[in-house]
Amino acid sequence: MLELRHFSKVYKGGKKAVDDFSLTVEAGDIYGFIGHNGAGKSTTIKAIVGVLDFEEGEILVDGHSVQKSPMECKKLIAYIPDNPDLYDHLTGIQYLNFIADIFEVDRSEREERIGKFAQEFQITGALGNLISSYSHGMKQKLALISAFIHTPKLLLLDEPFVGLDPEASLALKSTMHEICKEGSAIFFSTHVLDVAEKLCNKIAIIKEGRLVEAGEMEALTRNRSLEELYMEVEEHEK
Amino acid sequence: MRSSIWILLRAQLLNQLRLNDFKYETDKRKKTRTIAFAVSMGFVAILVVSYSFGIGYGLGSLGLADAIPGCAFAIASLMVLFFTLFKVNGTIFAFKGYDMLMALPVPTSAVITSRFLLLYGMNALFSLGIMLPMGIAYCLWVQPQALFYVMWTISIFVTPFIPMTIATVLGTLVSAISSKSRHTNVVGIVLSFVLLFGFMGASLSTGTLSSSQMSVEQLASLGSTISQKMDQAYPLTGLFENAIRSYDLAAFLAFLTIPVVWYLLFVKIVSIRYKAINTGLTTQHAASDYKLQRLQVNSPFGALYRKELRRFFSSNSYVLNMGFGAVFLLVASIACFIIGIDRLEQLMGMPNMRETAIGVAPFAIAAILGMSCTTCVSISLEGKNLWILQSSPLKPATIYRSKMAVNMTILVPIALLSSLFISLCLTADFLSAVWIFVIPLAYVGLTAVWGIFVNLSVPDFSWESEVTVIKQSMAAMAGIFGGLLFGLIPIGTLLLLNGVDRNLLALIVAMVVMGLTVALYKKVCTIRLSG
Repeated sequence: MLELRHFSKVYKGGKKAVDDFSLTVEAGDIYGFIGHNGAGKSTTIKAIVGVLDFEEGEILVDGHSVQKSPMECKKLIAYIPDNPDLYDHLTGIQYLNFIADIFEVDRSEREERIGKFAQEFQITGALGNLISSYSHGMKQKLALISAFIHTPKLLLLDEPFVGLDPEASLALKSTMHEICKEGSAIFFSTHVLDVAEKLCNKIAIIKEGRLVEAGEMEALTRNRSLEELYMEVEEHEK
Repeated sequence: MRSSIWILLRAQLLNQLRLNDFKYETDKRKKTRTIAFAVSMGFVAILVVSYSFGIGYGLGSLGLADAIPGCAFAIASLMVLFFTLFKVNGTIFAFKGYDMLMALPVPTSAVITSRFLLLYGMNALFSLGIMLPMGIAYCLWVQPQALFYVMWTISIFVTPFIPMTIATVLGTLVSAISSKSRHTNVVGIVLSFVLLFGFMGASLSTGTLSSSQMSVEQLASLGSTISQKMDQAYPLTGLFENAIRSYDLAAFLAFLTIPVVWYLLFVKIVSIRYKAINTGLTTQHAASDYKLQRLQVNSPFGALYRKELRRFFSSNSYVLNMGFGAVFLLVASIACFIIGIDRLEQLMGMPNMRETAIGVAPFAIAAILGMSCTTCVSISLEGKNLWILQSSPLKPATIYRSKMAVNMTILVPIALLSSLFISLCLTADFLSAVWIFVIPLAYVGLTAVWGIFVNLSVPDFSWESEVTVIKQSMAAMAGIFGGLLFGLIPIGTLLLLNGVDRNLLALIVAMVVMGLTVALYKKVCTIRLSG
């Protein structure tokens, strides 16, 4: 579903944010992406969704090159940044309908999916209000619902659990399982190692722009917790 | 207290003036943009200074040097009033970072003072740009005593106080009234337009002279007539003129004391109710009783267009700054139609104005419409929302087209109505009437495309307040003044080349404008939307 081949990103000024990064995410995977602040997680995710240009390597989404066929890739993707700034001047429902229009979701499907997810994230009553009146958590919920509307094949989520209340966190985890069972894949960054350990079947650890560990959760952790593995990797790479 | 005010003010100045961009920005493109913006602001400052000097010198050459101080004071005050009116909300009240700032261990009065000083600093520059050159012009004609220089210098920095406070009260009232309404933005925009046209009407009725007063016989008494009119409009003008012209120290002290005391009192009163005003402006009751209804399905273009239209009407600053020209044009054209060409000729003291007006009208309408360029900031205004468009399966050209369509939706009806009223007013012949319709419509297309082109050339997504993009960005200036210039060039040609066939000129201009529009459109459609 997602393939990164020797992907590198150099920022202006010569700073190499990501260096020779290769990874494969398969359909049905819930792939956790961990690393300390500034390790290159957001840069990698932004390059996959086409928000950030890159010069080295190749990124393929369901076989389509992100650089050569961006439209085909974007149709398959849903992305939520770490701090989703939404259109404050729209109401929640106007925003969701806007996203449904952009992804050309038909009426019955959008109504059904918005209704379902809005109820799961307990935000239906507030959908008629302006987004500017929403709290951070409500904006996060709205961004998540907008990501689920068009049944994406690949979800790229940057710190999706930040700001969510316990019910919404639970709803998100359950939705992630559900859509992966249907054949989609999820690649998400997080600092919450407990969540990653329980939720993901695979993990990747990035350090200073380089991929240092990647693969099946069980194979990597063996008899350790993810936290212990992460600390070991951090120590070893120093 | 003093040190905390300075710390807060310094942080705001660094943020607003982007001083760190000069020092620390590593991206050369961004740095060049910041420098180019500084240069363009310098250019605007030169224009303001030259224009002010021109007014002062002109008055002097008409033998009205005595009217210069009053004029300088009134113009500076009016400019400060307009400039502050729509900056209050977002600078003094309801600004970004309010919660964070108020949680810091600094007194509320320090927060208010630092915000006022920021606004005062900008207004003092305005005052300096107007009053200094007019003061120089006054010196050239009057050769005043040494005391004048001291008084004038001090006055420059005292002048902004009263208009600033008046604008603060009015701007806050507009925000407060509109925030209580269900249709906050519509009420805010309507109130702001009423206020603007109210000020314009009031200053026109009290501050201008009718044609009868312009007679040569009365030229000698014009200076005092102007002074009287301005004193009626703004009573402090009289006090200021007395102080300056007669070196009256008592009047000068009174002139200094009134604004300073008024200003200090104002800040004191505001600081008592500061939190309450902010809470009132920023919090609204939101009912959480929405029930899912049937949703309307649009094409991606339709969705973008609707989103863009909502964006435009959601912002008072956006509508007022980019829509003012168009609304003004409509009001002025209706007024011309009602008054009629004969009375207009009489009022303006130009008996054979009609023929010239018929030739100039299409381009004059176009020039004013060109200033209502909503597209020139529309891309920058995506700001932190840019990720939504960038990660969506949308061709950049579709995004640009939706923004151009909004600009044209706003301008086309106004262009048609204004052209209708003006052609009826001028009783234009068929061919001239055709140009009065065609030229403005052609310019509407150019304005929309030009704005996108300009904004893609100098985008700014890292703003904190949208007012910075709408009022102070390089793209806004290039968009607005570019549109104006496109219209002024043919007017200049028409007036300079006496006897030129106006229909031929209109035909050439229409072809050039349409050609340029197509070329620019093709160019922008190939540009990627990158942050």
